[in-house]
Amino acid sequence: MKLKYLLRAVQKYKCSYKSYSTEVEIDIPKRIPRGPTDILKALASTVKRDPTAPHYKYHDDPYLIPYNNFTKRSYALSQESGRKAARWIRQQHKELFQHKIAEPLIEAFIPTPEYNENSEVDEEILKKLINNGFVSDALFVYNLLRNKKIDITPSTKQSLLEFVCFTNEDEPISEDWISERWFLMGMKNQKDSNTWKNGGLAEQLFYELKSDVPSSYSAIICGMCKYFQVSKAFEIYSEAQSKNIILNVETYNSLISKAKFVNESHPKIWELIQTLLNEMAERKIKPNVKTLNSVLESLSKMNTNRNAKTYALNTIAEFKSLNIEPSLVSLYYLLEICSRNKSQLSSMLSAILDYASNKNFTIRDKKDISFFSKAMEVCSKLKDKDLLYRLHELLLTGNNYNLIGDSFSESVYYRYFFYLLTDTEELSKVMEFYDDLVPNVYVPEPSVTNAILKAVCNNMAWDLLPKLWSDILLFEQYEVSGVLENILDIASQNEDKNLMEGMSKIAWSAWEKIEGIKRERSNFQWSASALGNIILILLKSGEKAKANLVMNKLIQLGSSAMNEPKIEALSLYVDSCIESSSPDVAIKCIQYCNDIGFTETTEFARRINSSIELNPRQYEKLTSIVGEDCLKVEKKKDQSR
Amino acid sequence: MSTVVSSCYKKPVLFKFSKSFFSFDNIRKTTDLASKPGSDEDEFRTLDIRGGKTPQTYSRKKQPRVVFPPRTERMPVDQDWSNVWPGPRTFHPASVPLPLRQGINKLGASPGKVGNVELMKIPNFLHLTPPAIKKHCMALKKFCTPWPRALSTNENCQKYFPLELIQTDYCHSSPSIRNPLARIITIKFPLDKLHLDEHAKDKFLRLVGDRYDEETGIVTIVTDKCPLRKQNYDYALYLLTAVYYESWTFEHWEIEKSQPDLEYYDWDNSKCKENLIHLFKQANQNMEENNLLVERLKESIVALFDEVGTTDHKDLWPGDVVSLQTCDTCGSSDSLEGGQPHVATNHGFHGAAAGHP
Repeated sequence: MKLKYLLRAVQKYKCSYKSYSTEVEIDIPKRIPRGPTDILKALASTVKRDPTAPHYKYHDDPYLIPYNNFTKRSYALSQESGRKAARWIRQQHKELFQHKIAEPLIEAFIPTPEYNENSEVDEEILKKLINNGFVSDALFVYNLLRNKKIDITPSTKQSLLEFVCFTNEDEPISEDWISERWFLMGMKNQKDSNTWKNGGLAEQLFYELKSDVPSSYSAIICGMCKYFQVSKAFEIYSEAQSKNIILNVETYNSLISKAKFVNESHPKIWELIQTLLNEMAERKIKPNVKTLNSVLESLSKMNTNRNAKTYALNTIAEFKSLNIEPSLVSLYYLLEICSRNKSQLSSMLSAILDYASNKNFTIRDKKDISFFSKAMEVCSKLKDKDLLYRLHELLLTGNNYNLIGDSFSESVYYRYFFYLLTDTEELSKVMEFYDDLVPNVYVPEPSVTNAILKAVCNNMAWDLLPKLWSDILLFEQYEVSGVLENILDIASQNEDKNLMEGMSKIAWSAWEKIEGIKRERSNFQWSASALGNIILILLKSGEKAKANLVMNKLIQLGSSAMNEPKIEALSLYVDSCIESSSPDVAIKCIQYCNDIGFTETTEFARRINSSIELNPRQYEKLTSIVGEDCLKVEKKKDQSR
Repeated sequence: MSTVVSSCYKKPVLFKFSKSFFSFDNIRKTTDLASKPGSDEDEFRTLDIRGGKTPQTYSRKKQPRVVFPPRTERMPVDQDWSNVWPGPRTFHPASVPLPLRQGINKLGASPGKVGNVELMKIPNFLHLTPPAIKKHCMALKKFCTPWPRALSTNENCQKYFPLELIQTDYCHSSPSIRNPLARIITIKFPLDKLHLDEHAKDKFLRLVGDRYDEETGIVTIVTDKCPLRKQNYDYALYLLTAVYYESWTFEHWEIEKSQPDLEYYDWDNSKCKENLIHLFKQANQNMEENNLLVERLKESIVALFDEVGTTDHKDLWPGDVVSLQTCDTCGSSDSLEGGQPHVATNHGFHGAAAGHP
């Protein structure tokens, strides 16, 4: 800073010095122009993502880092609700927060004024409320002004109309609540229905204004299209046509994007779009990127039509000649248009990636954020590994990651990412991505965990199991849809002697975890195969006592448990009983085998009978299970030998 | 009374047994039973004021929380540290993979990093490692222009751009981005860089007063009267310009400046010299012949007046005067009495002293 002023001083004195220092020429270069935040941005660009750290909105502390989707959501939202509470307190006790210490004054830090029937209002206040986006306050003040019979200028009325059409009289979620918007999901689908407030304030304002202000037509049509009151929007459009009113480009955009709702047949839709575009050309209205996107949006709704793709490509070409580059959502619509045909889709996606590679995108359309998850879904559908890597590279270029959307589309992206990776890529590479992304960026859904487990099984990479099991515990997935069964199944297939202990640890911790819960609302049910696998693993590493406990559970559940244990496990258990000469337990096991209906029951019975001396009571029990004949046959065989 | 007490003691004992054998639900039932009035003879009866059902409380058995090991364990050896610790932050043991110790433990080694408040108290510079600074510099390079080649040395800078401007920017975390101290402007320049003749320099120095540092020859002007930095800057430059031109102007009253107004002892116009000439005349001697002696006397007298108070000249000048006297007596036999030159110089001295307050 000091240098800067020195230079300035220097420049002032330059002239005077030239007079008596002619022999040296001092050439002071021009200052490189920069914005107020350019230095900060340059410094920020030196910091890359730290794979071991959580997102910066969380506290970097082992006790406070969220490891699964539920905690991620609840931690972020509770932090934000704390902010909301603070704001509420500030609003409730306004008188305590009137100190204005900030210099310059920060408007957002002081409580907002409240309005009631007696408050003094004027047009300026209304204007300010509209500019700040306070919907309910603006509506209240407007009504107050009307009741007091204070005249409002048409320009203010027009801006109020635009405001009401934009918000549909509903208070939107404030831009300040970033986490809430990030975790907001499933809201998109609900919005596709007609939510326009018929006969509401917007229409009242429109009828008051329509003779004076021609741009009121544009506003009302945009609003109606946005909230799916399409037929009425087109009615007003034809009214404007008849009165020869020139509408703005946004109005045409919204009409084009809703063309599908007024016509049924595809040729008619396309005809309507073309008439609208021609009208724009006649009236010398310059289209923008959103016009392109609206056309493509309408075309994507008719993707069953054969011509849709040609129309779309022609449109893009024509807009290119107007120097309008497609934004990300245009590419998304292209994928939608081609989604019926796999070979078309593949060539389209690779063409898109050719076009987009190394480009740094910024948001130009609200829906730009839907591209990446859609493209990854297409990649996974096509099972094309190369496209996946190219797409992922595009996501990581520049600031493109900002366009991933919200938490939902981010997890959709990574879900398909891992599906495809586990299908096509070798395990070491998959685990590389896994270590990098899990759990701080992405927490795998149970189906993804299963896919990874399957890949581990196919590669016989049992050494990864302890790590995966601890992750499953952290993500609290041990209770859901077969994850537990899968990991136990894979662990039981382990053939590496050195890893036996680790496997038995997994099995025992799974057992303890489930048995330890005892929650009222836990609806987990042991499957017999899982219990069988636990027994198998425990016996393989020689933990007889623990295996007995699990066996008891298995016998207790009996045939009520789902599917059946591996026969290998039961056989091993019987052998271990013989080894420790505990016939009672072995007979219980045989009883269980018989109940389930294993054909090997008799073989087990014979084995016990031949290797342990049974007392009469035990023998009687055994015969009652398998029948005397079997055992006798055995004995006869022995004698004959 | 004693029975009640004993029963009170009995209950927990019974619970202890039941805990180990039954599940948690069973215990709940027993306690619920016990709290119902009249169900147990030994129990104190509780007064149910609210009436109705006792509110059902679902107590969940708390699961031990799974805590991930500190992330230092997962950090690769070749990680980029500036990504992990990008900005100033309080020390955190789970994020810093260094075996740090801090504090005093009289019984052994200093306490380790986990839960160590001493490490949190001190400011750390983990975000300003040499590689991080290097990265920052590389990122900021695009905003920099090359340094003019002609100004490669400090001497050259001072030579061609003698005016130095000092101002301070304040940056702190408070609601206000303003600081009143930021308005102050200081300019510095060496006096000999200005075109000044003897009169102008004299006047300039009188005008700037103590803003001139005699030892370094630098003039310092500080402006803080105006509320804004820009205004102060303009004011400082205005002052410089005004003082410069003012020192070149010659006002008519400046003719009235007489010897006592001078800021140095002017030997050529002094009473002392006059007296000395007079003295030599009386002795019919030419002053030029005794040049060496006169010079010495001049030097010591000028020094006496100009540097009054700085050194002790009291014992310097009588010596010179005595030597002058002896010279006189040796040089000519028909000279005045020995006391006369002394008186003359004394007189001269007094004359000068009177004219030079």
